[in-house]
Amino acid sequence: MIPIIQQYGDTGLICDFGDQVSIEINQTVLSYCENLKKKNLPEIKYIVPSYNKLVVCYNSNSFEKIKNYILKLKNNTTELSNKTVTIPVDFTQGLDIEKICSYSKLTLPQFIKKICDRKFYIYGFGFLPGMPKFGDLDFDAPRRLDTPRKSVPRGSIGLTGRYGNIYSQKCSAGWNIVGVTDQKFFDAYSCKTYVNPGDFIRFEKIK
Amino acid sequence: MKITFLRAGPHTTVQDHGRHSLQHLGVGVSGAMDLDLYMVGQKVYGNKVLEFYSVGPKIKTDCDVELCVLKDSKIEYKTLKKNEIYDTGSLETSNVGYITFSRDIDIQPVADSYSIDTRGGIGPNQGKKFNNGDIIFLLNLSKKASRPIIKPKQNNLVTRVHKGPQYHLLGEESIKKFTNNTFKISNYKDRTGVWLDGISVPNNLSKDIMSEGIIKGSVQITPSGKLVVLLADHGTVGGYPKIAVLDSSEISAFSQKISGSEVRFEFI
Repeated sequence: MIPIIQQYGDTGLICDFGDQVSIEINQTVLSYCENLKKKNLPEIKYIVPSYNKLVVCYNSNSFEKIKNYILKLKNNTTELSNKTVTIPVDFTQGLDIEKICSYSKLTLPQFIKKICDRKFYIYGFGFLPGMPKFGDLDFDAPRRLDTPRKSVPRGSIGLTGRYGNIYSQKCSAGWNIVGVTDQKFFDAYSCKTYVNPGDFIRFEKIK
Repeated sequence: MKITFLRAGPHTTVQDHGRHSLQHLGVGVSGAMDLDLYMVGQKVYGNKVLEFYSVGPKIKTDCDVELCVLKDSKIEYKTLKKNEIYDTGSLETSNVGYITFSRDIDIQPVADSYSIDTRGGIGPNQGKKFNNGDIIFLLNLSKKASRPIIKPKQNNLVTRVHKGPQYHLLGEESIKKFTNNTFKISNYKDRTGVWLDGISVPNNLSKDIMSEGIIKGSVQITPSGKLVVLLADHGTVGGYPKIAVLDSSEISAFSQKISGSEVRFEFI
């Protein structure tokens, strides 16, 4: 699959892999990201992958050069780790769990079963260091809150639409909170993340 | 040898060009808000540079040290004697200023950068801004100032922008309102970004966009039609539509616009 590449200001470009969000497309994005990083082009400042897009920030006026590099990249998928990690969850701290259940027409045990009975794919990180963004739910969670909460605890698990994320530190949050985990997702000294894009997480109810 | 922050100021940190290697992990770039002014400061002694927001620190040293303060388009030098107290004071016509010392600050980089990213909690000083009573240690060697010249910034009404990734999705009415009106810098601003006051710019995308990578200087429209310009400490990804992005040469000047300043956007 060849992305549509558009300029994003004078120091960036955005590679669009289409509107669809799927594991397959995300793995293409991650593969482009890895392969481009390996080139170590001096013009490139940084690269940000997301669900179905790749943003590249570079020194001013290198658009044509970087674009041509990207178009020449072979989409030979890089080795993703694909491991499954179990995340213990305290659902009693799920501030919006009742709202989600009534929105999705599920009882609380049905909801918890739906969350814990299967694994979820990690599309990448965002918003905060090491903050995993996962999908795809097989039911619809409510949209983002109209007014984000000023603060939720580290490890809060938020859902919106068919997607979820885990707030890797205490922060303001607009997603519907279903529970909290003790697991740390980012170490600020080593800058290591607990999971990687392409991995799967499985939730386990502890409360 | 050390410096004590008797009063740290609302947001005093160490900054440099930012952290560029970890955006794929969700780590922000951070870095100096006004890179032009920072680079002048960096040249003075070739040492690390502190950035302060709105109000500068009040400090005390336990050794002789020269310092250089860059604020409100002025550059000042001052030699401090042992136990002398120095108050940087507050900024009047800009948001951020810089201080650098003839003896370098003794701190270690995190992921190749000295920038303190308080949002992500990454960088020297455990990723935290300096607080009252905090101490930073200084190295022995005292360097001579090179006394660079500072070019005063023009406070232009017009900021030049490029089309943002969702420009074409937003429709004519949004673009007209964006380019034909004057906006004002609101009081809601920090190192993450600036909220603008003014006419509401319609954000009637049929559905939310999936979060995607963000470039500094992006102009987002919130669901209620407010414009937010993202600056040094912005998150790596975001899901609001971006109507425009500032030309990179405009970001330093824009970051210095104080509350109440008027802004007009012009597409290049």
